[in-house]
Amino acid sequence: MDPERWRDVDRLFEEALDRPPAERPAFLAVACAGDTALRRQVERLLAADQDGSRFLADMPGELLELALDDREEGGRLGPYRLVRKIGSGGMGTVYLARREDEHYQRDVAIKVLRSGLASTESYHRFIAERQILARLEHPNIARLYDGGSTEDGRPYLIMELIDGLPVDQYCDRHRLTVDQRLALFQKICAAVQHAHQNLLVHRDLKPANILVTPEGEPKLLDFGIAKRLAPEPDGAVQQTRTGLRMMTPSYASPEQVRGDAITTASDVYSLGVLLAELLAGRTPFLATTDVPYEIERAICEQEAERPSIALFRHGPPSAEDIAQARKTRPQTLRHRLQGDLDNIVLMALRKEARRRYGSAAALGRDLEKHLQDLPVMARPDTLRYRTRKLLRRHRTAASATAVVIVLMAVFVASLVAQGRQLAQERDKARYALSFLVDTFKQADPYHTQGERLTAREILDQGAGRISRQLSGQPDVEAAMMDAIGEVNLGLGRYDEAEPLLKRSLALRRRIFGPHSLEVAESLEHLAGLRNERSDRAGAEAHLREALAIRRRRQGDGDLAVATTLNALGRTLADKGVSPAAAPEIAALHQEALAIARGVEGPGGLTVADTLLALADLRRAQGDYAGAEHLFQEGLAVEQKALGDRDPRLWRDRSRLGDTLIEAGKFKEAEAVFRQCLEVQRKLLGREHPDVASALGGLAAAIHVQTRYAEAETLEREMLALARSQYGPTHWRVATAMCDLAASLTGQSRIDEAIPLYQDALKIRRRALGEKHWQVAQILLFLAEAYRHEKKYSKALGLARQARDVFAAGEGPDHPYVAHALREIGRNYLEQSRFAEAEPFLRRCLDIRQKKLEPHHPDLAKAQLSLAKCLIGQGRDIEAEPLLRAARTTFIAVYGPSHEILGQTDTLLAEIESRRDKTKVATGRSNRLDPR
Amino acid sequence: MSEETITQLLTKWSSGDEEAAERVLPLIYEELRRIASRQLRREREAHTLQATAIVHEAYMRLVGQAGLEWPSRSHFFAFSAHLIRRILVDHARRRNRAKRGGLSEKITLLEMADPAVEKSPDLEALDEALAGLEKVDPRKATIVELKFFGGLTLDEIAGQLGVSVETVSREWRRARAWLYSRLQTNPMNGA
Repeated sequence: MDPERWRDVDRLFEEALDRPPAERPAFLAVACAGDTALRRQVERLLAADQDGSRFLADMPGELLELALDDREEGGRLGPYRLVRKIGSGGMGTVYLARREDEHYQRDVAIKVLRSGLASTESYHRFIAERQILARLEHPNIARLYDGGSTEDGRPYLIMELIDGLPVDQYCDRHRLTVDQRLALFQKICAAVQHAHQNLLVHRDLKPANILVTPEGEPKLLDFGIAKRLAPEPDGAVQQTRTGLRMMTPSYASPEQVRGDAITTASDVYSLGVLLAELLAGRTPFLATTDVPYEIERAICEQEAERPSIALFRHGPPSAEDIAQARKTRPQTLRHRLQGDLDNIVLMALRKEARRRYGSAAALGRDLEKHLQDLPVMARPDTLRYRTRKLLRRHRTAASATAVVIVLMAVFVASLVAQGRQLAQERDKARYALSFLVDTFKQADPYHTQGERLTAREILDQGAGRISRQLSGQPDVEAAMMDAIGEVNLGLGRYDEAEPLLKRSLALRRRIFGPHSLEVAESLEHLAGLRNERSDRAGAEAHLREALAIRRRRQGDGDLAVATTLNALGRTLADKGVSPAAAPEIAALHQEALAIARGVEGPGGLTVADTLLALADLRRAQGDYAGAEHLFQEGLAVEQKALGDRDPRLWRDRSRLGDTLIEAGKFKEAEAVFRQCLEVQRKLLGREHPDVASALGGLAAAIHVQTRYAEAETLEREMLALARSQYGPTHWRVATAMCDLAASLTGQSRIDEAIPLYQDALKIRRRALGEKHWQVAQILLFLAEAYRHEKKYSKALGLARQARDVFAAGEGPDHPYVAHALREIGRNYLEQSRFAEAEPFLRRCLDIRQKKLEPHHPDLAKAQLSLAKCLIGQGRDIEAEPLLRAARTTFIAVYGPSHEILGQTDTLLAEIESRRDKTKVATGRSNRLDPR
Repeated sequence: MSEETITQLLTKWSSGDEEAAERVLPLIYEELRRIASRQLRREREAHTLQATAIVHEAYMRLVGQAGLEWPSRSHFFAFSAHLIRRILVDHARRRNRAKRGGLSEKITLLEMADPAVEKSPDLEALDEALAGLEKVDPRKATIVELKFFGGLTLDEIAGQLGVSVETVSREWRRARAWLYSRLQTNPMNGA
């Protein structure tokens, strides 16, 4: 800086400081006289004066001490030469030292007490350490060889030199798997336990104090602030409360932070923090700050976060990186951590010392149990839990799986029966049942694709045995039937599910009476089956009955009533949302919404679900703008209730994407699907059905933007996925076939498209009957394909058929009807039968004008088709405004270089040139060739 | 090393022998260290090291007790403060280098646990900023060195510099603000 300039700045700064803060701006404005740089400099100094009033207040003496201690290097201690400093701890500095005499040479670590800590307390503690460490002999604890004093009276320790890495770095560098990490951690537990048995608490367990040798042996260092447990006459009492200042805050237990008595449980706690880090790569507390006080408060007040959740905390490192360091993927790692390991960590981290593991050994034992798939302590020993363990233990042995699961099912059933007899504990029975459902869901092919057959065997055998085993316990039997039926339903095994669910319903009617809640539950499950089979009428009847029961038993204001109302509404909507049917459906959801808001308040999950159901209804009615609005509202509620990381939120978000496509907002839809896919793949893995749905949505969003080749790739992936997951005749397979065929049609590969459509049609006809809109949809697709092949009569027949189905089911003004009308019109158009095309295209445009937003691409397409039809009849004047309107929309939706825009512009150019010719050749008759 | 030697060197230095200053530096450094070490053992509970105490004791031992006619007490204090600055900055530089080099320097318990150390400025950056200040405003730089590194009070500094306490106080405040703003804008600094 220029000294002169500095003087100016300094002088103004001084003068400004002499004035009250309020007057300074005015003063500077005048004094700086337009020199803004000068003014800025002074202002910065004024700000620094305010913020930095404590700056340089004291020079921390510790810094000086540390600096002065540096001089030790190169010196000698007894027979040892200090080679270099390898670290400084709270108690002193550690050197690599070498003993060299004629007999032998060896390297050791020498820890010299820091000069600054030669106080009574530290000194005694240091001496204590020497005595205790000398007693400790354990392969995983650094050995103490000797001790002594320097010339100026500072004590030192000569210890085993450990060539190793801190345990966390070691694990990451060698990419140890979770199992390998656990094995290493168990050794650490054993070492800590050994120290505890020698009445020694470490008090500062952390990665830096646990080195791992190249051979993979952990070595505990630095029992530097260890507190002896046995009462000693000399200074023992004083030592009780001195841990805090010495402790590394992130690893300190609440009692250490508070300055309460420290016990072996404090080490257990620190081990818990270490375990959490080794497993999930993150501390169990959200450190929002580096300020020690804040960290301490978090330790005392904040609940520890489950490692499986902490893993996905915002990085760095990212969950990907963390998983990679464990040779796995984030999703797999999450699954691995969920359950036992989460619970074990949380138990070690309990705020109350006595509720933690009683010892480091107990913690180690629990990990051992976990590794052997035995029940761990860290979890309430519920029936459901114990049996799940039994299952898991045998899950890998594929041949034995079925037998074991069946045995287990019988086992659970008998326990349920026992429990009921002994204490009539219905809750226990519930537990057992939900356990069963969970168990079977684990065998669900979505999760364990390779084991599908086994799972099916399990279910069949399980169903048979349970019914034999439990025939004397009809209520339990009914519950089991219901449970296994539900699982079969989830697997798409409708034929197997049906008798079970029906039998369960019958049993429950008999046992609990026809108006019991158990019956309502069975009815709802059975309705689920009917819905899957597209038997809407059957589902409706069951749900209405269930609703009546729930209203009577639970009152009109119960949340269960709201849920059933929504289920009924959805079922009716699936039947069709004709103008006659829609009001009732809307009323059902509105009632559900009122109940849910009353029970949950405005932000509840049922509220969100109901809003989404209403959105679906609007969408089905063809009110895409209304649907979008409701989706956004429902999703906002859901997001607030669930947070960003819940898979349900993303499943529902992808439904918004579907709506956006129908609303003509293709790019927005694509973005929504891409985001959903990204998050869902992280949360659920690649093969989850929700991921498949989002993938399908993305393909659709790309398809409608006419990027057919790109869409085709995704659609082929989808189709393969659907076939492998659901079998060859599932409705999802049909959907995937249609999507792929449409992209093929777009690329003029009609020969490939038609067989796909025909296969899909077969599947849907069988599942849905002839009169379903999804069947009609395929008819329409086929019509389009045949038209491309110029098989007009065939195409016209199919399109008419589709129109009739749509009009009957969805109402005459539904957008689907418009699709069919346009197809009919285009068939005539391509045969130059313009007059015949016109009424269909006009009607199509009418519907679209009524139903769609002004810039929907479908509206523009209707305008284009009608314009062609009019031009064909020599009615340029009528056609031109239609073309111009369509043109604007096409540019907005598809961009300026799309083929459809070219068509439009060509037509407009032709109109103009004809107009010019007409002007030139006035008097000539209007002779126009429609071609 | 006998104290006489130090005394002799100091005498030479005080009479303008710059080479004597060079040679006395390591000796005073040692002496400061020894004093620090002793003081620390005396200060049982509050085991913190006060720079001011060290500087004062060193002066008493090296100058006062030896009956040396030290022309300027301020000269010695400034010198000691400067030395302490060097000791600290050298140490900080080594530490920073170790950190930047990615060496896994073990975080010391005390450093982690002690907010005073956590909050202390990046001495390397402070040293650079102070060197900048020396060029444009030597008196302010001296005040900072005496106050922060030498641990002297404003009164003492005023006495050393032969100006009013009021002046020292005002200069100190402005120097502090300037250094603070410099260290704030430097992204490398951890203060």
